[in-house]
Amino acid sequence: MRSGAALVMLVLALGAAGAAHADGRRWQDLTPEQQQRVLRNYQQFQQLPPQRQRFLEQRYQRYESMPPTERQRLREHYQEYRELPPKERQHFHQQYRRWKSKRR
Amino acid sequence: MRCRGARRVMMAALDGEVSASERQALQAHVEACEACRSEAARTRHLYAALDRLPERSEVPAGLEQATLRRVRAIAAEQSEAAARGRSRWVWWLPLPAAAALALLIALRTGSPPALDRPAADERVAAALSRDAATPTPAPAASTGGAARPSRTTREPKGPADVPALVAAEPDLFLELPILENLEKLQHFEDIRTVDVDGNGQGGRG
Repeated sequence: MRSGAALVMLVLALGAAGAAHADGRRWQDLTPEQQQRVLRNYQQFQQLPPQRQRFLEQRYQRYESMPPTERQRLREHYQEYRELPPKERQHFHQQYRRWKSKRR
Repeated sequence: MRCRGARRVMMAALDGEVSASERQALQAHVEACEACRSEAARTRHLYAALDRLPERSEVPAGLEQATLRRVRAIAAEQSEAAARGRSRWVWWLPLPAAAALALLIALRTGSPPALDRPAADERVAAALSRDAATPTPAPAASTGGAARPSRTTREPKGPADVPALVAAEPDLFLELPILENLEKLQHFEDIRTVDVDGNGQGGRG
């Protein structure tokens, strides 16, 4: 009986560990296209000043702790942002500057 | 708040990402500390300059290949220099081996991965240049850094082929464009309602 309970505990612990890891993608699970993107972004990241790198790492920790629905919302907004035609994107940046100046 | 803490939250404060109490503490510190005041002014100027930059810049054709060629040349020089150094310092070999072992143990016990920067850069440049040599168009995925077609549909590289930080945290780099634009994306709907002609609604918070 005791060994059975220990086995159940072990299985639960392993499951929890697996679930924790499953949240972030592993390198080998990325598609070749995603791997390319990762390497290019890594190169850009390496060019940033250390202070900015730390800032982005902190943002990443915050991003990681967001619920999956929130992360999905951000991805969708990013997609929408990327697809803005140049003129609309420029307008968006003007809106952003105005919005930001009001917040400061 | 002390200088170290103030400088840590300075950028986040300019992005509007700190709590009211943190902002107050930062403001109090900056008012009292001349060094941090000038640092804050520098950071504000930097942000203002970044805001003035155009969203996209045209880069000369062939810049990427020229950069990669230069990176490969530097990497080759470094390898050559390292090889020359090895023959002279062969008696010190056990020392880096012990360091590598310690690093491996640290990595396996969950410490943050350390970066051997030149080696990491070489691996990235090598991986990218290998793929750049065989362009194969494919549709862009959901969160790309640049809106251009993929260059490869080859098999994924193993984690050993890339820097430790990339293998350990691929999401950090995959989502980098989102992280860089986090504030814009979090308040996307609010920002889009702002009237730039003077009657902005301003959004929440």
